[in-house]
Amino acid sequence: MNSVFVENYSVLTGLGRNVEDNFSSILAGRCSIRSEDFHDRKVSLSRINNDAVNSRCFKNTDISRLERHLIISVEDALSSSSVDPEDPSTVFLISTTKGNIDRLDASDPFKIGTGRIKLHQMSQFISSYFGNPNRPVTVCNACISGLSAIIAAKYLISGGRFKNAVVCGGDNISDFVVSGFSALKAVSPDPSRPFDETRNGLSLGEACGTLILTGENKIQEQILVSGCASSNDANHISGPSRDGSGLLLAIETAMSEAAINAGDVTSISAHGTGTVFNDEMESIAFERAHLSDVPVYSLKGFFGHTLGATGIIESILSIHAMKENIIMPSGGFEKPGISGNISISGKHRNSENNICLKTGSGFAGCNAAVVFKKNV
Amino acid sequence: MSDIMIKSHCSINRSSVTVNGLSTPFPGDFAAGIRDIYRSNNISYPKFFKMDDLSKLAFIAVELGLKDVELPEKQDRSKTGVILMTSNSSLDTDCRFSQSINDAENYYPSPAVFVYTLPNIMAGEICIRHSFKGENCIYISEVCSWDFIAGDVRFLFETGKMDACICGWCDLFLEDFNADILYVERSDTQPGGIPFTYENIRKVVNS
Repeated sequence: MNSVFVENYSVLTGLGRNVEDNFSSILAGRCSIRSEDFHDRKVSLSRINNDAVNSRCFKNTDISRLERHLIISVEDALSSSSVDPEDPSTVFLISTTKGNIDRLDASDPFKIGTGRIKLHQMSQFISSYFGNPNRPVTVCNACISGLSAIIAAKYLISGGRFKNAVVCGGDNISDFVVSGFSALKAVSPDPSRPFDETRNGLSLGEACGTLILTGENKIQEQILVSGCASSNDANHISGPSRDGSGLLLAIETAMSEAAINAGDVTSISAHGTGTVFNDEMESIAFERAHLSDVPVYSLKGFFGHTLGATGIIESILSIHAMKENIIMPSGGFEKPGISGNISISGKHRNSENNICLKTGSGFAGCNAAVVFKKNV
Repeated sequence: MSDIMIKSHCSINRSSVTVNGLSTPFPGDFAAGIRDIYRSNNISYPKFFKMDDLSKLAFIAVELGLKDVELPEKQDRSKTGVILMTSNSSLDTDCRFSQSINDAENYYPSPAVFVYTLPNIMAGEICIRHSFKGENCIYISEVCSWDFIAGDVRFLFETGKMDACICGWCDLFLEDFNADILYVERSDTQPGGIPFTYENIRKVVNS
Protein backbone atom coordinates (compact mmCIF):
# COMPACT_ATOMS: atom_id res chain seq x y z
CA MET A 1 0.00 0.00 0.00
CA ASN A 2 1.65 3.25 -1.13
CA SER A 3 1.80 6.20 1.27
CA VAL A 4 0.19 9.43 0.08
CA PHE A 5 2.00 12.73 0.65
CA VAL A 6 0.93 16.36 0.33
CA GLU A 7 3.12 17.88 -2.37
CA ASN A 8 1.76 21.40 -2.82
CA TYR A 9 -1.42 23.46 -2.53
CA SER A 10 -3.19 26.74 -3.23
CA VAL A 11 -6.37 28.46 -2.07
CA LEU A 12 -8.54 31.23 -3.43
CA THR A 13 -11.19 32.62 -1.08
CA GLY A 14 -12.85 35.90 -0.15
CA LEU A 15 -9.83 36.48 2.10
CA GLY A 16 -7.30 36.35 -0.69
CA ARG A 17 -5.62 34.52 -3.49
CA ASN A 18 -2.85 32.59 -1.79
CA VAL A 19 -2.31 30.44 1.26
CA GLU A 20 -0.14 33.02 3.08
CA ASP A 21 -2.76 35.78 2.71
CA ASN A 22 -5.52 33.50 3.91
CA PHE A 23 -3.43 32.19 6.77
CA SER A 24 -2.31 35.59 8.05
CA SER A 25 -5.86 36.98 7.71
CA ILE A 26 -7.21 34.10 9.79
CA LEU A 27 -4.57 34.57 12.48
CA ALA A 28 -5.41 38.28 12.54
CA GLY A 29 -9.12 37.39 12.92
CA ARG A 30 -10.19 38.98 9.63
CA CYS A 31 -13.42 37.83 8.02
CA SER A 32 -14.54 38.19 4.39
CA ILE A 33 -18.23 37.55 5.08
CA ARG A 34 -20.62 40.49 4.47
CA SER A 35 -24.35 40.94 4.91
CA GLU A 36 -26.19 41.45 1.64
CA ASP A 37 -29.81 41.97 0.68
CA PHE A 38 -31.39 39.04 -1.08
CA HIS A 39 -35.01 39.65 -2.08
CA ASP A 40 -36.89 40.27 1.17
CA ARG A 41 -34.15 39.27 3.59
CA LYS A 42 -30.53 39.63 4.60
CA VAL A 43 -28.01 36.88 3.95
CA SER A 44 -24.32 36.63 4.83
CA LEU A 45 -21.98 35.85 1.94
CA SER A 46 -18.26 35.78 1.22
CA ARG A 47 -17.32 36.50 -2.38
CA ILE A 48 -14.04 36.15 -4.25
CA ASN A 49 -12.78 39.64 -5.04
CA ASN A 50 -12.62 39.99 -8.82
CA ASP A 51 -9.55 42.22 -8.50
CA ALA A 52 -7.66 39.23 -7.11
CA VAL A 53 -8.27 37.20 -10.26
CA ASN A 54 -8.73 39.70 -13.11
CA SER A 55 -5.00 40.04 -13.68
CA ARG A 56 -5.10 36.58 -15.21
CA CYS A 57 -6.46 36.99 -18.75
CA PHE A 58 -8.05 34.14 -20.69
CA LYS A 59 -8.23 33.97 -24.47
CA ASN A 60 -11.26 31.69 -24.28
CA THR A 61 -14.27 34.02 -23.97
CA ASP A 62 -16.57 31.09 -23.28
CA ILE A 63 -14.92 30.36 -19.94
CA SER A 64 -17.15 30.65 -16.85
CA ARG A 65 -16.29 32.53 -13.68
CA LEU A 66 -15.97 29.26 -11.75
CA GLU A 67 -13.74 27.76 -14.44
CA ARG A 68 -11.47 30.82 -14.21
CA HIS A 69 -11.20 30.32 -10.48
CA LEU A 70 -10.48 26.62 -10.82
CA ILE A 71 -7.80 27.19 -13.46
CA ILE A 72 -6.14 29.96 -11.43
CA SER A 73 -6.16 27.72 -8.37
CA VAL A 74 -4.61 24.77 -10.25
CA GLU A 75 -2.04 27.07 -11.92
CA ASP A 76 -1.06 28.53 -8.55
CA ALA A 77 -0.56 25.05 -7.06
CA LEU A 78 1.34 23.71 -10.08
CA SER A 79 3.61 26.75 -10.38
CA SER A 80 5.85 25.58 -7.54
CA SER A 81 5.19 21.85 -7.85
CA SER A 82 7.28 19.13 -9.42
CA VAL A 83 4.18 17.21 -10.55
CA ASP A 84 3.65 17.27 -14.31
CA PRO A 85 -0.04 17.67 -15.21
CA GLU A 86 0.58 16.12 -18.64
CA ASP A 87 2.10 12.95 -17.17
CA PRO A 88 -0.20 9.93 -17.74
CA SER A 89 0.47 8.89 -14.12
CA THR A 90 -1.16 12.13 -12.90
CA VAL A 91 -4.94 12.23 -12.44
CA PHE A 92 -7.25 15.21 -11.89
CA LEU A 93 -10.06 15.02 -9.34
CA ILE A 94 -12.68 17.76 -9.26
CA SER A 95 -14.98 18.39 -6.32
CA THR A 96 -18.02 20.59 -6.81
CA THR A 97 -21.64 20.60 -5.75
CA LYS A 98 -23.19 22.79 -8.44
CA GLY A 99 -20.47 23.56 -11.02
CA ASN A 100 -21.70 25.98 -13.70
CA ILE A 101 -25.31 25.96 -12.44
CA ASP A 102 -25.53 29.75 -12.91
CA ARG A 103 -25.44 29.06 -16.66
CA LEU A 104 -28.82 27.32 -16.64
CA ASP A 105 -31.28 29.40 -18.63
CA ALA A 106 -33.93 30.02 -15.98
CA SER A 107 -36.62 30.69 -18.58
CA ASP A 108 -35.98 27.36 -20.29
CA PRO A 109 -33.72 25.31 -18.00
CA PHE A 110 -34.36 21.91 -19.59
CA LYS A 111 -32.75 23.10 -22.78
CA ILE A 112 -29.23 22.32 -21.65
CA GLY A 113 -26.90 24.47 -23.70
CA THR A 114 -23.19 24.26 -24.36
CA GLY A 115 -22.17 25.93 -21.09
CA ARG A 116 -20.62 22.81 -19.55
CA ILE A 117 -23.48 22.64 -17.10
CA LYS A 118 -22.95 18.91 -16.71
CA LEU A 119 -20.31 18.48 -14.03
CA HIS A 120 -18.19 16.02 -16.00
CA GLN A 121 -18.04 18.50 -18.89
CA MET A 122 -16.58 21.15 -16.62
CA SER A 123 -14.07 18.67 -15.14
CA GLN A 124 -13.00 17.53 -18.59
CA PHE A 125 -12.53 21.17 -19.61
CA ILE A 126 -10.26 21.81 -16.61
CA SER A 127 -8.13 18.67 -16.97
CA SER A 128 -7.82 19.13 -20.74
CA TYR A 129 -6.78 22.76 -20.18
CA PHE A 130 -3.73 21.41 -18.35
CA GLY A 131 -3.10 18.76 -20.99
CA ASN A 132 -3.89 15.83 -18.72
CA PRO A 133 -4.49 12.68 -20.80
CA ASN A 134 -6.74 10.88 -18.29
CA ARG A 135 -10.47 11.11 -17.75
CA PRO A 136 -10.90 13.33 -14.65
CA VAL A 137 -12.66 11.96 -11.59
CA THR A 138 -15.58 14.16 -10.52
CA VAL A 139 -17.00 13.86 -7.03
CA CYS A 140 -20.33 15.31 -5.94
CA ASN A 141 -21.20 14.39 -2.37
CA ALA A 142 -22.82 17.54 -0.99
CA CYS A 143 -20.78 19.28 1.70
CA ILE A 144 -18.26 16.44 2.07
CA SER A 145 -17.36 16.54 -1.66
CA GLY A 146 -13.90 18.01 -1.04
CA LEU A 147 -13.01 15.37 1.54
CA SER A 148 -14.50 12.69 -0.73
CA ALA A 149 -12.18 13.85 -3.52
CA ILE A 150 -9.15 13.66 -1.20
CA ILE A 151 -10.28 10.19 -0.10
CA ALA A 152 -10.75 9.08 -3.73
CA ALA A 153 -7.28 10.42 -4.59
CA LYS A 154 -5.81 8.47 -1.68
CA TYR A 155 -7.44 5.28 -2.95
CA LEU A 156 -6.12 5.89 -6.48
CA ILE A 157 -2.55 6.54 -5.31
CA SER A 158 -2.42 3.94 -2.50
CA GLY A 159 -3.82 1.33 -4.85
CA GLY A 160 -1.07 2.12 -7.34
CA ARG A 161 -3.35 3.28 -10.14
CA PHE A 162 -1.78 6.76 -10.33
CA LYS A 163 1.37 8.36 -8.92
CA ASN A 164 0.06 11.90 -8.52
CA ALA A 165 -3.31 13.56 -8.07
CA VAL A 166 -4.36 17.16 -8.62
CA VAL A 167 -7.36 17.49 -6.32
CA CYS A 168 -9.27 20.65 -7.05
CA GLY A 169 -12.55 21.88 -5.58
CA GLY A 170 -14.72 24.90 -6.12
CA ASP A 171 -18.18 26.42 -6.09
CA ASN A 172 -19.48 29.91 -6.66
CA ILE A 173 -22.30 31.83 -5.07
CA SER A 174 -25.38 31.68 -7.29
CA ASP A 175 -29.04 32.62 -6.88
CA PHE A 176 -29.72 28.90 -7.09
CA VAL A 177 -27.70 28.09 -3.97
CA VAL A 178 -28.61 31.21 -1.98
CA SER A 179 -32.33 30.74 -2.54
CA GLY A 180 -32.10 27.04 -1.69
CA PHE A 181 -30.27 27.50 1.59
CA SER A 182 -32.56 30.45 2.38
CA ALA A 183 -35.60 28.26 1.79
CA LEU A 184 -34.15 25.89 4.37
CA LYS A 185 -33.79 28.89 6.73
CA ALA A 186 -30.15 27.87 7.11
CA VAL A 187 -28.48 31.19 6.21
CA SER A 188 -27.55 33.63 8.95
CA PRO A 189 -28.02 37.36 8.21
CA ASP A 190 -24.65 38.04 9.88
CA PRO A 191 -21.27 36.28 9.61
CA SER A 192 -21.61 32.74 10.94
CA ARG A 193 -20.37 31.86 14.42
CA PRO A 194 -19.66 28.13 14.51
CA PHE A 195 -20.01 26.48 17.94
CA ASP A 196 -20.93 29.83 19.57
CA GLU A 197 -24.01 30.09 21.79
CA THR A 198 -25.42 32.87 19.58
CA ARG A 199 -24.98 31.04 16.27
CA ASN A 200 -28.00 31.10 14.02
CA GLY A 201 -27.02 29.67 10.67
CA LEU A 202 -24.32 29.45 8.07
CA SER A 203 -22.72 31.99 5.76
CA LEU A 204 -22.26 30.96 2.15
CA GLY A 205 -18.89 31.48 0.56
CA GLU A 206 -17.25 30.99 -2.78
CA ALA A 207 -13.77 29.53 -3.00
CA CYS A 208 -11.43 27.22 -4.87
CA GLY A 209 -8.56 25.14 -3.66
CA THR A 210 -6.06 22.72 -5.14
CA LEU A 211 -4.20 20.04 -3.24
CA ILE A 212 -1.51 18.10 -5.05
CA LEU A 213 -0.97 14.61 -3.65
CA THR A 214 1.77 12.19 -4.60
CA GLY A 215 2.92 8.67 -3.82
CA GLU A 216 6.55 9.77 -3.93
CA ASN A 217 8.14 11.25 -0.83
CA LYS A 218 10.18 14.13 -2.24
CA ILE A 219 10.60 16.42 0.73
CA GLN A 220 12.12 15.76 4.17
CA GLU A 221 9.34 16.87 6.46
CA GLN A 222 6.15 15.80 4.79
CA ILE A 223 2.47 15.66 5.60
CA LEU A 224 0.81 12.31 4.92
CA VAL A 225 -2.83 11.55 4.24
CA SER A 226 -2.64 8.68 6.70
CA GLY A 227 -6.25 7.68 7.29
CA CYS A 228 -9.66 8.41 5.86
CA ALA A 229 -13.23 7.18 5.78
CA SER A 230 -16.75 8.20 4.90
CA SER A 231 -20.04 7.03 6.39
CA ASN A 232 -23.76 7.61 6.32
CA ASP A 233 -26.05 8.35 9.28
CA ALA A 234 -28.86 6.32 7.66
CA ASN A 235 -31.16 8.66 9.55
CA HIS A 236 -32.41 11.72 7.63
CA ILE A 237 -31.62 13.29 4.24
CA SER A 238 -31.42 16.91 5.39
CA GLY A 239 -30.65 16.81 9.11
CA PRO A 240 -27.67 15.39 10.99
CA SER A 241 -28.16 12.51 13.41
CA ARG A 242 -28.69 13.70 16.99
CA ASP A 243 -26.15 11.34 18.52
CA GLY A 244 -23.26 11.93 16.09
CA SER A 245 -22.90 8.18 15.52
CA GLY A 246 -22.34 8.47 11.74
CA LEU A 247 -19.53 10.99 12.13
CA LEU A 248 -18.11 8.96 15.02
CA LEU A 249 -17.95 5.90 12.75
CA ALA A 250 -15.99 7.83 10.08
CA ILE A 251 -13.61 9.28 12.71
CA GLU A 252 -12.94 5.87 14.29
CA THR A 253 -12.30 4.22 10.92
CA ALA A 254 -9.95 7.00 9.79
CA MET A 255 -8.02 6.99 13.09
CA SER A 256 -7.71 3.22 12.99
CA GLU A 257 -6.35 3.33 9.44
CA ALA A 258 -3.86 6.00 10.54
CA ALA A 259 -2.94 3.77 13.51
CA ILE A 260 -3.35 6.59 16.03
CA ASN A 261 -5.22 7.04 19.31
CA ALA A 262 -7.39 9.97 20.32
CA GLY A 263 -4.54 11.21 22.54
CA ASP A 264 -2.25 11.57 19.51
CA VAL A 265 -4.47 14.12 17.74
CA THR A 266 -3.13 17.68 18.09
CA SER A 267 -5.91 19.61 16.31
CA ILE A 268 -9.39 19.10 14.86
CA SER A 269 -10.48 21.06 11.80
CA ALA A 270 -14.23 20.64 12.16
CA HIS A 271 -16.99 21.11 9.60
CA GLY A 272 -18.58 23.69 11.96
CA THR A 273 -21.16 25.32 9.71
CA GLY A 274 -22.72 27.57 12.33
CA THR A 275 -26.13 25.91 12.18
CA VAL A 276 -27.58 24.85 15.52
CA PHE A 277 -27.90 21.16 14.68
CA ASN A 278 -24.66 20.54 12.78
CA ASP A 279 -22.35 22.01 15.41
CA GLU A 280 -24.25 20.28 18.20
CA MET A 281 -23.96 16.91 16.43
CA GLU A 282 -20.23 17.40 15.85
CA SER A 283 -19.56 18.27 19.48
CA ILE A 284 -21.24 15.04 20.58
CA ALA A 285 -19.29 12.97 18.04
CA PHE A 286 -15.94 14.48 19.11
CA GLU A 287 -16.68 13.83 22.79
CA ARG A 288 -17.73 10.25 22.01
CA ALA A 289 -14.44 9.82 20.10
CA HIS A 290 -12.56 10.79 23.32
CA LEU A 291 -11.33 14.01 21.70
CA SER A 292 -12.63 16.38 24.42
CA ASP A 293 -9.17 17.81 25.17
CA VAL A 294 -8.09 18.40 21.56
CA PRO A 295 -8.44 21.98 20.24
CA VAL A 296 -11.30 22.20 17.72
CA TYR A 297 -11.79 24.99 15.20
CA SER A 298 -14.02 25.80 12.26
CA LEU A 299 -12.72 28.11 9.52
CA LYS A 300 -16.21 28.87 8.18
CA GLY A 301 -16.53 31.92 10.42
CA PHE A 302 -13.75 33.50 8.31
CA PHE A 303 -14.86 32.79 4.72
CA GLY A 304 -18.17 30.99 4.97
CA HIS A 305 -19.32 27.55 3.94
CA THR A 306 -17.72 27.08 0.54
CA LEU A 307 -19.58 23.86 -0.45
CA GLY A 308 -17.51 21.86 -2.94
CA ALA A 309 -14.33 23.70 -1.93
CA THR A 310 -14.85 23.34 1.83
CA GLY A 311 -13.12 20.02 2.45
CA ILE A 312 -10.17 20.98 0.26
CA ILE A 313 -9.44 24.55 1.36
CA GLU A 314 -9.95 23.78 5.05
CA SER A 315 -7.65 20.75 4.75
CA ILE A 316 -5.02 22.90 3.03
CA LEU A 317 -5.08 25.64 5.66
CA SER A 318 -5.02 23.03 8.42
CA ILE A 319 -2.01 21.34 6.79
CA HIS A 320 -0.31 24.73 6.58
CA ALA A 321 -0.96 25.24 10.30
CA MET A 322 0.68 21.85 11.00
CA LYS A 323 3.79 22.97 9.11
CA GLU A 324 3.86 26.22 11.10
CA ASN A 325 3.08 24.44 14.40
CA ILE A 326 0.14 26.73 15.01
CA ILE A 327 -3.31 25.87 16.35
CA MET A 328 -5.77 28.00 14.40
CA PRO A 329 -8.60 29.98 15.99
CA SER A 330 -12.27 29.16 15.43
CA GLY A 331 -13.85 32.02 13.47
CA GLY A 332 -16.63 33.98 15.15
CA PHE A 333 -16.46 31.94 18.36
CA GLU A 334 -16.79 33.51 21.81
CA LYS A 335 -18.82 31.34 24.19
CA PRO A 336 -19.58 27.65 23.68
CA GLY A 337 -23.15 26.79 22.82
CA ILE A 338 -23.00 23.05 22.33
CA SER A 339 -23.68 20.19 24.71
CA GLY A 340 -20.70 17.96 23.79
CA ASN A 341 -17.66 18.44 26.01
CA ILE A 342 -15.05 19.78 23.55
CA SER A 343 -12.27 22.39 23.58
CA ILE A 344 -12.99 25.13 21.03
CA SER A 345 -9.88 27.00 19.99
CA GLY A 346 -10.06 30.70 20.92
CA LYS A 347 -7.09 32.82 19.90
CA HIS A 348 -4.45 31.08 17.79
CA ARG A 349 -1.38 29.79 19.58
CA ASN A 350 1.96 28.17 18.83
CA SER A 351 1.98 24.51 19.71
CA GLU A 352 3.35 21.31 18.24
CA ASN A 353 0.77 20.25 15.67
CA ASN A 354 1.65 16.86 14.22
CA ILE A 355 -1.71 15.19 13.67
CA CYS A 356 -4.79 16.96 12.43
CA LEU A 357 -8.23 15.38 12.11
CA LYS A 358 -10.37 17.01 9.41
CA THR A 359 -14.07 16.21 9.38
CA GLY A 360 -17.10 17.04 7.29
CA SER A 361 -20.80 16.25 7.25
CA GLY A 362 -23.50 17.01 4.74
CA PHE A 363 -26.91 16.50 3.24
CA ALA A 364 -27.93 12.89 2.67
CA GLY A 365 -26.50 12.11 6.12
CA CYS A 366 -22.97 11.72 4.80
CA ASN A 367 -19.86 12.18 6.94
CA ALA A 368 -16.15 12.06 6.22
CA ALA A 369 -12.96 12.13 8.26
CA VAL A 370 -9.35 12.45 7.12
CA VAL A 371 -6.23 12.21 9.30
CA PHE A 372 -3.23 14.30 8.21
CA LYS A 373 0.00 13.28 9.89
CA LYS A 374 3.40 14.93 9.93
CA ASN A 375 6.14 12.58 8.85
CA VAL A 376 8.60 13.39 11.65
CA MET B 1 -10.95 -10.08 -6.39
CA SER B 2 -12.38 -13.54 -5.92
CA ASP B 3 -13.20 -12.97 -2.26
CA ILE B 4 -15.93 -10.53 -3.25
CA MET B 5 -19.15 -11.99 -4.63
CA ILE B 6 -21.88 -10.48 -6.78
CA LYS B 7 -25.07 -11.41 -4.94
CA SER B 8 -27.66 -9.74 -7.14
CA HIS B 9 -28.21 -7.36 -10.02
CA CYS B 10 -30.98 -5.07 -11.20
CA SER B 11 -31.11 -2.90 -14.28
CA ILE B 12 -33.88 -0.48 -15.23
CA ASN B 13 -34.16 1.48 -18.45
CA ARG B 14 -36.87 2.78 -20.80
CA SER B 15 -37.40 -0.60 -22.37
CA SER B 16 -36.98 -3.13 -19.59
CA VAL B 17 -36.56 -4.05 -15.96
CA THR B 18 -34.10 -6.91 -15.42
CA VAL B 19 -33.59 -8.61 -12.07
CA ASN B 20 -30.94 -11.33 -11.95
CA GLY B 21 -31.34 -12.11 -15.64
CA LEU B 22 -35.16 -12.07 -15.80
CA SER B 23 -36.57 -9.21 -17.89
CA THR B 24 -39.97 -7.56 -18.07
CA PRO B 25 -40.96 -4.45 -20.05
CA PHE B 26 -40.73 -1.08 -18.28
CA PRO B 27 -44.39 -0.15 -17.75
CA GLY B 28 -45.07 3.22 -19.42
CA ASP B 29 -43.38 6.59 -18.99
CA PHE B 30 -41.06 7.14 -16.02
CA ALA B 31 -43.53 8.66 -13.56
CA ALA B 32 -46.26 6.07 -14.10
CA GLY B 33 -43.91 3.16 -14.66
CA ILE B 34 -41.83 3.58 -11.52
CA ARG B 35 -45.01 3.86 -9.40
CA ASP B 36 -46.35 0.77 -11.12
CA ILE B 37 -43.23 -1.20 -10.20
CA TYR B 38 -43.46 0.09 -6.61
CA ARG B 39 -47.06 -1.14 -6.32
CA SER B 40 -46.72 -4.43 -8.16
CA ASN B 41 -43.84 -5.41 -5.89
CA ASN B 42 -45.86 -4.61 -2.75
CA ILE B 43 -43.29 -2.17 -1.45
CA SER B 44 -44.56 -0.19 1.51
CA TYR B 45 -42.43 2.92 2.04
CA PRO B 46 -44.43 6.18 1.89
CA LYS B 47 -41.24 8.29 1.71
CA PHE B 48 -40.85 6.96 -1.83
CA PHE B 49 -43.52 9.39 -3.07
CA LYS B 50 -41.56 12.39 -1.78
CA MET B 51 -38.38 11.46 -3.62
CA ASP B 52 -37.24 13.07 -6.84
CA ASP B 53 -37.04 10.92 -9.96
CA LEU B 54 -33.32 10.08 -9.66
CA SER B 55 -33.79 8.86 -6.09
CA LYS B 56 -36.94 6.93 -7.10
CA LEU B 57 -34.96 5.17 -9.81
CA ALA B 58 -32.09 4.26 -7.47
CA PHE B 59 -34.47 3.28 -4.69
CA ILE B 60 -36.53 0.91 -6.88
CA ALA B 61 -33.43 -0.64 -8.49
CA VAL B 62 -32.06 -1.43 -5.01
CA GLU B 63 -35.45 -2.69 -3.77
CA LEU B 64 -35.73 -5.14 -6.67
CA GLY B 65 -32.08 -6.15 -6.47
CA LEU B 66 -32.28 -6.92 -2.75
CA LYS B 67 -35.67 -8.65 -2.85
CA ASP B 68 -34.28 -12.16 -2.44
CA VAL B 69 -31.06 -11.22 -0.67
CA GLU B 70 -30.62 -11.99 2.99
CA LEU B 71 -28.87 -8.90 4.36
CA PRO B 72 -26.72 -9.03 7.52
CA GLU B 73 -28.43 -7.99 10.77
CA LYS B 74 -29.06 -4.23 10.98
CA GLN B 75 -26.31 -3.64 13.55
CA ASP B 76 -23.86 -5.34 11.19
CA ARG B 77 -24.34 -2.94 8.30
CA SER B 78 -21.81 -0.31 9.38
CA LYS B 79 -19.48 -1.55 6.64
CA THR B 80 -22.12 -1.68 3.92
CA GLY B 81 -21.40 1.13 1.47
CA VAL B 82 -23.02 2.82 -1.50
CA ILE B 83 -20.74 3.67 -4.46
CA LEU B 84 -22.60 5.01 -7.47
CA MET B 85 -21.77 6.75 -10.71
CA THR B 86 -24.04 9.07 -12.71
CA SER B 87 -23.74 11.34 -15.72
CA ASN B 88 -26.49 13.91 -15.28
CA SER B 89 -26.10 14.20 -11.53
CA SER B 90 -29.20 15.96 -10.13
CA LEU B 91 -29.69 18.05 -13.28
CA ASP B 92 -33.30 16.94 -13.73
CA THR B 93 -34.28 18.33 -10.32
CA ASP B 94 -31.90 21.30 -10.74
CA CYS B 95 -33.91 22.37 -13.80
CA ARG B 96 -37.21 22.06 -11.92
CA PHE B 97 -35.76 24.06 -9.03
CA SER B 98 -34.39 26.69 -11.41
CA GLN B 99 -37.82 27.02 -13.04
CA SER B 100 -39.46 27.59 -9.69
CA ILE B 101 -37.05 30.32 -8.52
CA ASN B 102 -37.51 32.11 -11.83
CA ASP B 103 -41.04 32.80 -10.66
CA ALA B 104 -40.81 35.98 -8.56
CA GLU B 105 -43.92 34.95 -6.60
CA ASN B 106 -42.29 31.73 -5.57
CA TYR B 107 -38.74 32.83 -4.91
CA TYR B 108 -38.21 30.58 -1.93
CA PRO B 109 -39.21 27.19 -3.19
CA SER B 110 -40.06 24.23 -1.04
CA PRO B 111 -36.98 23.10 0.91
CA ALA B 112 -37.99 19.55 -0.01
CA VAL B 113 -37.13 20.28 -3.66
CA PHE B 114 -33.78 21.97 -2.92
CA VAL B 115 -32.53 19.00 -0.93
CA TYR B 116 -32.81 16.82 -4.04
CA THR B 117 -30.53 19.12 -6.07
CA LEU B 118 -27.64 16.89 -4.98
CA PRO B 119 -26.99 13.47 -6.51
CA ASN B 120 -25.80 11.88 -3.27
CA ILE B 121 -29.32 12.17 -1.85
CA MET B 122 -30.04 8.93 -3.71
CA ALA B 123 -27.29 7.27 -1.65
CA GLY B 124 -28.83 8.75 1.51
CA GLU B 125 -32.27 7.40 0.61
CA ILE B 126 -30.84 3.90 0.06
CA CYS B 127 -28.88 4.09 3.33
CA ILE B 128 -31.94 5.23 5.32
CA ARG B 129 -34.12 2.48 3.84
CA HIS B 130 -31.66 -0.33 4.53
CA SER B 131 -29.64 1.02 7.50
CA PHE B 132 -26.41 1.03 5.45
CA LYS B 133 -23.83 3.12 7.30
CA GLY B 134 -20.60 2.48 5.40
CA GLU B 135 -18.63 4.34 2.73
CA ASN B 136 -20.59 6.69 0.48
CA CYS B 137 -19.49 8.22 -2.79
CA ILE B 138 -21.11 9.55 -5.94
CA TYR B 139 -18.87 9.89 -8.98
CA ILE B 140 -19.94 11.91 -12.03
CA SER B 141 -18.83 10.53 -15.38
CA GLU B 142 -20.05 10.96 -18.94
CA VAL B 143 -20.19 7.19 -19.37
CA CYS B 144 -20.43 4.31 -16.95
CA SER B 145 -16.96 3.03 -16.08
CA TRP B 146 -17.20 -0.35 -14.36
CA ASP B 147 -13.39 -0.44 -14.33
CA PHE B 148 -13.37 2.61 -12.08
CA ILE B 149 -16.29 1.48 -9.90
CA ALA B 150 -14.93 -2.04 -9.45
CA GLY B 151 -11.44 -0.70 -8.70
CA ASP B 152 -12.79 1.61 -6.00
CA VAL B 153 -15.01 -1.10 -4.51
CA ARG B 154 -12.24 -3.68 -4.51
CA PHE B 155 -9.88 -1.24 -2.80
CA LEU B 156 -12.45 -0.50 -0.09
CA PHE B 157 -12.90 -4.23 0.54
CA GLU B 158 -9.14 -4.84 0.61
CA THR B 159 -8.57 -2.05 3.14
CA GLY B 160 -11.28 -3.52 5.37
CA LYS B 161 -13.56 -0.48 5.11
CA MET B 162 -16.39 -2.33 3.39
CA ASP B 163 -17.71 -5.86 3.62
CA ALA B 164 -20.73 -5.30 1.40
CA CYS B 165 -22.02 -2.61 -0.91
CA ILE B 166 -24.47 -1.35 -3.46
CA CYS B 167 -22.48 -0.24 -6.49
CA GLY B 168 -23.10 0.74 -10.08
CA TRP B 169 -24.67 3.29 -12.34
CA CYS B 170 -27.82 5.37 -11.88
CA ASP B 171 -28.63 8.21 -14.26
CA LEU B 172 -31.76 10.16 -15.19
CA PHE B 173 -32.69 13.24 -17.17
CA LEU B 174 -36.35 13.65 -18.17
CA GLU B 175 -37.41 10.40 -19.89
CA ASP B 176 -33.86 9.24 -20.39
CA PHE B 177 -33.03 6.91 -17.52
CA ASN B 178 -30.76 4.01 -16.84
CA ALA B 179 -29.81 2.12 -13.69
CA ASP B 180 -27.45 -0.84 -13.39
CA ILE B 181 -26.90 -1.81 -9.81
CA LEU B 182 -25.09 -4.69 -8.10
CA TYR B 183 -25.15 -5.85 -4.51
CA VAL B 184 -21.77 -7.35 -3.65
CA GLU B 185 -20.62 -8.96 -0.44
CA ARG B 186 -17.54 -10.57 1.09
CA SER B 187 -17.69 -14.30 0.32
CA ASP B 188 -17.46 -15.37 3.97
CA THR B 189 -20.65 -13.47 4.90
CA GLN B 190 -23.24 -15.72 3.22
CA PRO B 191 -22.90 -18.50 0.64
CA GLY B 192 -23.82 -17.96 -3.01
CA GLY B 193 -23.18 -15.48 -5.78
CA ILE B 194 -20.52 -15.29 -8.45
CA PRO B 195 -17.04 -13.76 -8.12
CA PHE B 196 -16.81 -9.97 -8.58
CA THR B 197 -14.51 -10.07 -11.61
CA TYR B 198 -14.56 -7.73 -14.61
CA GLU B 199 -15.72 -10.63 -16.82
CA ASN B 200 -18.61 -11.47 -14.50
CA ILE B 201 -19.61 -7.83 -14.10
CA ARG B 202 -19.74 -7.49 -17.87
CA LYS B 203 -21.74 -10.70 -18.20
CA VAL B 204 -24.23 -9.67 -15.51
CA VAL B 205 -24.82 -6.09 -16.64
CA ASN B 206 -25.25 -7.16 -20.26
CA SER B 207 -27.77 -9.90 -19.37
